[in-house]
Amino acid sequence: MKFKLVKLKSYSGKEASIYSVYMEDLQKTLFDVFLEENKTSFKSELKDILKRMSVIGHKTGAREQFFKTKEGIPGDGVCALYDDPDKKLRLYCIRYGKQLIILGGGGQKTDHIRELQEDEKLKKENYLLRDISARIRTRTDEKEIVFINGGMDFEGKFEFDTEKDE
Amino acid sequence: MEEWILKANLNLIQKKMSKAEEYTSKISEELLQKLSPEESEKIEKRMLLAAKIDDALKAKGWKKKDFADSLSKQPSEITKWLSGTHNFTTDTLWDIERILGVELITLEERRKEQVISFHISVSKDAEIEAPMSCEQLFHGTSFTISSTWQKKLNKDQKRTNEIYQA
Repeated sequence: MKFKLVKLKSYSGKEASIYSVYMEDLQKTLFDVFLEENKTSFKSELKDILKRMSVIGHKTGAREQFFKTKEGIPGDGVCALYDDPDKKLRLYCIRYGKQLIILGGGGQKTDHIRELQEDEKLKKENYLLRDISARIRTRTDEKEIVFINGGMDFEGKFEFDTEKDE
Repeated sequence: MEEWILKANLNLIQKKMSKAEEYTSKISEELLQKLSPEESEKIEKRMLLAAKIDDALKAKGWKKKDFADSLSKQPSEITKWLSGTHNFTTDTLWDIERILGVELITLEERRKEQVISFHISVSKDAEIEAPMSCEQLFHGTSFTISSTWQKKLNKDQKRTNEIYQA
């Protein structure tokens, strides 16, 4: 699997940098895939999510209160954008403090599902982000990716090839 | 050149830091364009309100649980309030104002202090008796003003207002 981290230009602002994961085989980001998969049935919810992202980037920053934290393993930053019980979509992200987030994919929540593991689609998206988070962690440990501007952004090697990295 | 020097140089080149590629998501731009200004404003205000409440909590040194206890609410309800998606009732906002000592709804209209300045010059053959003071100019009833002067004064006032509002 080949992917790279890309900065979402129009959502990133003075309060937070917003990234997504560009998948080379799909020629689009995980966030784009999430939008395309749900644009027909949940357009209104998607518009709400997009505006919230814009406000996070430009006005408020990625405050913890706007997310459901601890959706991954301890310390990996995997979380979900807060969703009301009456909302249908879940979007996973990796949050690095208030100033930097990486948007992943997600899917439709179903009322009867209590655990993430019970839903194959959500499980797949969540575990993919956990894997990506672990790979970024390896790069930051090896100083191949470093946080800059007080955690507002990062720089380094953003292209990943899971076969070569193994 | 020695092999180890070449390797060291190669490592340095490989580790050269660069910023991530900027990416514009066409689908997200299209969706966001369909969001009405009214919806957009509501989403933003809800998030800013939640951020303000969270700031007030932090200023007081309170955790969610302290806040929930003070209002006899469940912590899960406070999580929802702080998520930036909640549609508050005015009663709830007044309760929050009272408990946290923060202003969330402004009822009293703030009086704007308006400064209007006129530059008046009076020639020898003026058609009016020039007012002696601003008090007379605005409140006096003892002078008349020609239509030519009235037009000029109106024009000056309009321009002054424009400058003030800008």
